[in-house]
Amino acid sequence: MRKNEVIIIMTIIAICLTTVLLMKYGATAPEKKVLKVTINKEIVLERQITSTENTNVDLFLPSGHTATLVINDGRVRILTLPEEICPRGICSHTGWIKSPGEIIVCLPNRIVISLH
Amino acid sequence: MNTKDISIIAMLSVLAALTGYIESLLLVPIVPGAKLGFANIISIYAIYKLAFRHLIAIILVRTMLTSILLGTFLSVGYFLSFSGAVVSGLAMYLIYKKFARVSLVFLSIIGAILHNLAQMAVAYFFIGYAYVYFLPYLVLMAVPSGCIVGFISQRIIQQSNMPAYETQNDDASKFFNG
Repeated sequence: MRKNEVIIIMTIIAICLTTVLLMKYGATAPEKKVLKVTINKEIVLERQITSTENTNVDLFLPSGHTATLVINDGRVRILTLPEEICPRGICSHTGWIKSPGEIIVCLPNRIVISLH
Repeated sequence: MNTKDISIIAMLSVLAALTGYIESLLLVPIVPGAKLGFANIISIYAIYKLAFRHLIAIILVRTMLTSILLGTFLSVGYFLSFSGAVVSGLAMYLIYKKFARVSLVFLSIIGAILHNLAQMAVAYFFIGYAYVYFLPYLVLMAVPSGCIVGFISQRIIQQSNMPAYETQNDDASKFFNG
């Protein structure tokens, strides 16, 4: 690679690293977090979760299936969906999310689970 | 399109589709949508050795074949990989034509980054802005994976006995005018 090319790539890496570090350590962890779930860009659930809450929430998908969210100790995850609507299971592989700004995305079902 | 064109396109498309399929079986993505992108080797090969019409045909056929093999044809994932492959293929072709001295590894890294940007733009239509959260992670992973793909492509292009395909007529405008 030539010198200018290395400089361009290094700049891109620097911008991305700064963004990642700001996203990870820039935000302070508040006591109460807001859980927001959207399906097809429409908000289907938006409420506060506390660090002691321990519940399961069912989401009814347009495809007729039900997705289950597990809320536990201020963390959230989605249980594995049937393979015919979520072939690669990326959403359940994401695991627990606990800090504001983290998200779980299930692209085949257009579900976005985020914490604020 | 003559018989030679069709057979070149068929061979390389199947090769790229199988590479993409095997890769998706081997790797569990850390970030949704992140993968090495070995199928991009074929796009780069087509840019360096073949004409514009081969490049476009290979991209169209290979994204379709891979998604049929994976069972994601016409789902959200298909549109993401399709848009990413088309945008990165076109961008790499244009950069290669515009700056003849550009190095192959740099081309591959830029292609990988643009692949992610195009995917994000299409993902906006399905899930809104949420996918932006993954963008810095995806770009950070695109740099090393683009490097690996670039080095492999460089090796393949050096070793290949196939002469560059009609380089004097290799022009995008010829493709569009028939």
